[in-house]
Amino acid sequence: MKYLALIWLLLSQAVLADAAQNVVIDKPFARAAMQQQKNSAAFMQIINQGQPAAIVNARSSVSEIVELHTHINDNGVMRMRKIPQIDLPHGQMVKLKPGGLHVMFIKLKRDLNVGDMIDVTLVFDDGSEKALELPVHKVMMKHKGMSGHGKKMMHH
Amino acid sequence: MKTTKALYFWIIAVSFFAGLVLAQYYLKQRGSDLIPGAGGEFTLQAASGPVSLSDYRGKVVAIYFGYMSCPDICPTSLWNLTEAVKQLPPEQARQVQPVFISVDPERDSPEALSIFVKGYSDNFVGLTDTKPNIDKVARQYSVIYEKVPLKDSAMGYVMDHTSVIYLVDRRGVLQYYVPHDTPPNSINADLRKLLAG
Repeated sequence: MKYLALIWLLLSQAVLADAAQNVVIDKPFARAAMQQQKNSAAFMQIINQGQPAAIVNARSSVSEIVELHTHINDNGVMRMRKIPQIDLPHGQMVKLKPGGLHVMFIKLKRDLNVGDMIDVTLVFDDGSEKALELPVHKVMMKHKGMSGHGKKMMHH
Repeated sequence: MKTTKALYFWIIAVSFFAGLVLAQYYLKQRGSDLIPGAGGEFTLQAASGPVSLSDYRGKVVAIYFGYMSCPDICPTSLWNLTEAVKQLPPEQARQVQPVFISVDPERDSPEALSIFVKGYSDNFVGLTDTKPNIDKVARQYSVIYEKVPLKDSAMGYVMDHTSVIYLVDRRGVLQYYVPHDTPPNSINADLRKLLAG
């Protein structure tokens, strides 16, 4: 009986918990922006341990507007587009990363300097919210061995 | 025996036509700087006045086309390039000229660009110009760019663009085409080859 009560308690917790409680955020960071740069972006890894959910909005004090965006690499042409939401399927890791999904800061009110901590609040489709503090990083590609060398031009 | 003869015939025939095509290409490329992908001389506007590629003869020039409102793709590329140059010994780093060309002259003035590029390195140069002049340089370097309105976004519009770093040798000849997401150490290796050459 004791166990049943415990199981019931755990189950009800999982069902009653909102998206903000079920979502685990890993390695969040924002991209440094200064010297006339008006826009920037935040990235993170998200695991949703609960029911399928979605991020539908985001806020931050650093910019006038925050939107959800993605990039499409169309044969080397980068096409950035606004998206209505970022889906978070149960149990999967969704990566917001350079060159892909990102939380976009438009019309920055201040410089984002390396080492700063900034605020971002994620808003989920069930109305719940998650407030984050993220560090500002300078973003560049990681060392990837010998991959991705420049292509030599053909001269005749 | 017969099949061998036929094979020779086809090898000769194919080589002949391949030669014709290559010769055409060669003559065209020599004749004009405007053949797509050929790179070559250009003059665009910096805050300090007109700047030409030939002003940097004797240096290795690294060129990237993008725009200042770009939150992610351009900064990643510019940091990769900046880091690649920083990994060189100082006397070699001074022989590399990084150039950022904005394809968004509506929003990016030469003055704003000159401040923007200094966020990456002191000798970075920022250029832009009228659309027809940018179009001409974009064609030379096979850059595709397009202004795309985003009605639902506070961005207003974005500039879709090719994300490539072009490496030009000391003589002004386009030598390397560095695709997006190439890490600094690889760009550094290409720069070293051009600095040695």
